Amino acid sequence: MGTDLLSIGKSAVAAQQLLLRTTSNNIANVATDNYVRQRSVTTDSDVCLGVGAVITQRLNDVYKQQEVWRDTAGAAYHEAVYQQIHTVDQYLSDSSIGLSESMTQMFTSLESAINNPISESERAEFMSDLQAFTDRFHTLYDDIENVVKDNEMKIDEAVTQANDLIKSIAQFNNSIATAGKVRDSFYYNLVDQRDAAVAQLAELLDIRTVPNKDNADVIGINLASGQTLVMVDSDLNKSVWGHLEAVPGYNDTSARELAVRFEGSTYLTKLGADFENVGGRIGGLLSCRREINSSLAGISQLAVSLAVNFNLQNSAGTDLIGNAGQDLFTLPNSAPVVNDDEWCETCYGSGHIRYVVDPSAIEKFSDCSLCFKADNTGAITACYQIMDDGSLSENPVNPADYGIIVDTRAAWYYAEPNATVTIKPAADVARKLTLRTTDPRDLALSGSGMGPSDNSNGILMSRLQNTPAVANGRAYTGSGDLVSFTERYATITSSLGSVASSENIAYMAADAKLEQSRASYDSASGVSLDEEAAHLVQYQQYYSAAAKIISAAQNTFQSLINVV
Amino acid sequence: MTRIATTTSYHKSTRYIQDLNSRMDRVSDSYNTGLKFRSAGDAPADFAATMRLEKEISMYEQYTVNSGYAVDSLNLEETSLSAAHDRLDRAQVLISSAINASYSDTEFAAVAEELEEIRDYLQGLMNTRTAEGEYIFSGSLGRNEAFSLDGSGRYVYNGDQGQRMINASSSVSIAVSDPGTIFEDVPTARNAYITQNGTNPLPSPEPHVSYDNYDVFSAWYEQFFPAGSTADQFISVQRTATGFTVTDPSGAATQVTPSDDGTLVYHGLKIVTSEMTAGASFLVGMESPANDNVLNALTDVISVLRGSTNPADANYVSPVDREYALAKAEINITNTQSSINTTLGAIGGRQNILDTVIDSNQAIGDVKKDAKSTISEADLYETTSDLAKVQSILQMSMKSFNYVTGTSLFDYIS
Repeated sequence: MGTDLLSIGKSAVAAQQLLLRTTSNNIANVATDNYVRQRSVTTDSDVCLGVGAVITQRLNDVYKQQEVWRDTAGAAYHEAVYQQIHTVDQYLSDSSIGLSESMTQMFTSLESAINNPISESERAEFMSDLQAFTDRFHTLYDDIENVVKDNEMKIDEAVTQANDLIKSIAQFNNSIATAGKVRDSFYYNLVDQRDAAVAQLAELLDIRTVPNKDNADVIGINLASGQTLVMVDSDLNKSVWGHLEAVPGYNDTSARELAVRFEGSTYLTKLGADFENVGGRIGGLLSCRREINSSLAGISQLAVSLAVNFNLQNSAGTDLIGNAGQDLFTLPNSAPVVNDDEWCETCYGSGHIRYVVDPSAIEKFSDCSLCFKADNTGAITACYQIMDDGSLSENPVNPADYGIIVDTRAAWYYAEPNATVTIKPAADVARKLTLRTTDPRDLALSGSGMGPSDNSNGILMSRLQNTPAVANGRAYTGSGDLVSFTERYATITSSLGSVASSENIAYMAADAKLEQSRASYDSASGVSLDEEAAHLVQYQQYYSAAAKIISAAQNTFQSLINVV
Repeated sequence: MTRIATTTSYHKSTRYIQDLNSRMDRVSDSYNTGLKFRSAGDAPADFAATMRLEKEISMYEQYTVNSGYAVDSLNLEETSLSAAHDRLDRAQVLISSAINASYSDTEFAAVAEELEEIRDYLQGLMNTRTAEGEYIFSGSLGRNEAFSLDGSGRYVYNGDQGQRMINASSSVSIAVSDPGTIFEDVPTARNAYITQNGTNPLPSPEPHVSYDNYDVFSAWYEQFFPAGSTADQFISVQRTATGFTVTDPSGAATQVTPSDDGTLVYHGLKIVTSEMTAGASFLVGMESPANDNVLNALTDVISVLRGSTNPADANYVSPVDREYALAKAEINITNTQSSINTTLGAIGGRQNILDTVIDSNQAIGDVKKDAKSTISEADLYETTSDLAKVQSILQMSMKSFNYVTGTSLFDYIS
């Protein structure tokens, strides 16, 4: 390197070319996701005249970037919850899918049958409305169940995707650590790509990044709860990562929880049922399952309660032929509603609890799930109610207070040592409920021992429409907890609707917040074409000027030659 | 000054337009459906309230249908009962005119003939059927003919006590029928008859019994028949030298002096005696209380009226017996009419309740409909103006997109 004009000109041309290259790279990546604009600055040479080193910087605001990731997780969480709940909400609310209209229609045609008890055609109309109502239970339950299946698939997909991302973040970390000391555009592209993976992971989980103290471009990843997912070791160039699994919940197997297992370890860390802490789409998908389960349990409870009440009332009367009335509905596993294997869900060790619905305590029948715990000898010692948040009731409960009779004979009542056995008393009765008869004559409208023109039992049956007969979404504690069937369905619909509504608001708020933090981040790190256009003009002129130095050097040299 | 990244300006503008499009969608939804919300998630409490109100509105509509049915049913019953009452009035007139008259056989036969027509007509009314063919007076056994003849020529009731009810409102059930027991369970005239006292032969010609004053007799009669009595009670009549000793069922004896023609008047009864030697006696039996329908009472009196007035004939009926039969028929008819009147009164009461209930159901139904529309229906003016507003904002937004993104410094450098 010299001090002559030519050397100065050469260094200037090279430097301006680098500036132009950085600007062009910015322009080229204007639409690239997660691209962080770069800026090259020139320094004067400390050893000779001319331009010294050209340093390229990546204009990343780490704090704003982390805010964007947090807000991404927040918005994704509420969006996932809202989308799933919204679908169920629409099913429950729709007049041609939900139960409300069909139930009203059924009671209306019951009144017509009562007004003219001897008419088979009026009875037949009621029977067909009752059949339609029963079918409505099936389709509604199936439709919601399909949302659950869809949800399960989405959870599996999201967990797989998260595992891929976690792995690639760890691998990018290693590449960044081994890339050497040169901070050029190639190096920054690596960091950009790693951050793109982090941004995608932030959509799935609420994560926190931990910059390494030796090289801040190498980052560890934790969940908001503190659980490590990617850990940078002391050598910097070797990140280890955890593998996520969605495992059955501890008390309620039907709702899954997240767990982490580190590479090479057999130890599975469960992250618990605080899904908001898991965050992101995965947290959202995991958490909405509980709400949807609650709707399903409510619908099945309604099915059991309604069927048993109609059965009891029909059995109290006399049918059109003069025989004592019988059941109108058949509950799964036949009379008097026996739970067998398929009603029973087990977790953490196998076990078996068989029970029947107690028609004489049908008002106590609720949508609650119960959890039986066995001691280390396998003897079932206590039963607890599973609360809304998935935890167990503080004190043991008596299953009889939930309108069921547990069969405690050894063959039907056992568990492995330390097992917990969960039962959902209403199970999926809504899908399995059938009519025992469709013969209009079997409708027992007449009072006990009365002739076919009497309708006193029918009057009592029609009263079921307004009778508070079913526990309203909680364990039964007294007749004050009872509401009518219509009201129970309204509660099921409106409580899910409330979740849909609040999640929608939360989603809109989180999305607006994300929009704001992203704009703020982009304001620092995003490419502005106007700015780059100005730079382009600016650096072109600098380049022309530098070229003029070389031209001047040439002219000077030529003048010298001419003189000589 | 905020530095604006190029993507931000595009992004923001598209987002405005997206937001407005979704607002437009909601407003036009509400414009097209006329509803404020589509699912519980849009308005959980209002949606639940709407569900409740829809159920109630449909219930009140059904109660109105039920009440209409009740009105028809009660009207049919009322018409039948009123007609029956009218026919019984006519029977009463015929019987009163025959009771003390010196009619000829032919005249009595004519009365019998008309009574027979009345009886058959009454049977038709008591067997009134609905359009569906159900007998309205058969209680819960509407497929059975309410009143039919058995093998021995008596009319029997084939129904039971059942009553048809309808729900007129969520709390009121109203009976819309009455069982045939209103005809069947009518007390018959308290009956007295002549019978032998032990082995003593009856005097000849036989004594006869009839009413002197039925009200006096029936009031006195009651004391010997506490509720549930089924055994007959007897009054003993014994000739003494100067008159008669009449002993009531409790053993209380009274001396009774006969009138010139040998008639004794005793507690509303008229006992016609014949020549008897002192010490001779006979009994007047009192039948235990019984219920029967008026058809049988008419059959009984018809057969008496068809008897001959000539003592020589085999089917001779004495004037006392005829008078007695007519008097009993008169009482049976009165009792039946009183049962019909009671029932008509009850029907009137039910019709009054129905009128009130129909009015109040209508009013409550209207209130519920109002409430439902307030909660769930969109205000048309508001929706229309919203629609226009969102549309114009959307247009502005699209224009501004053009302004914001349409300029670039690149356009100005060559």
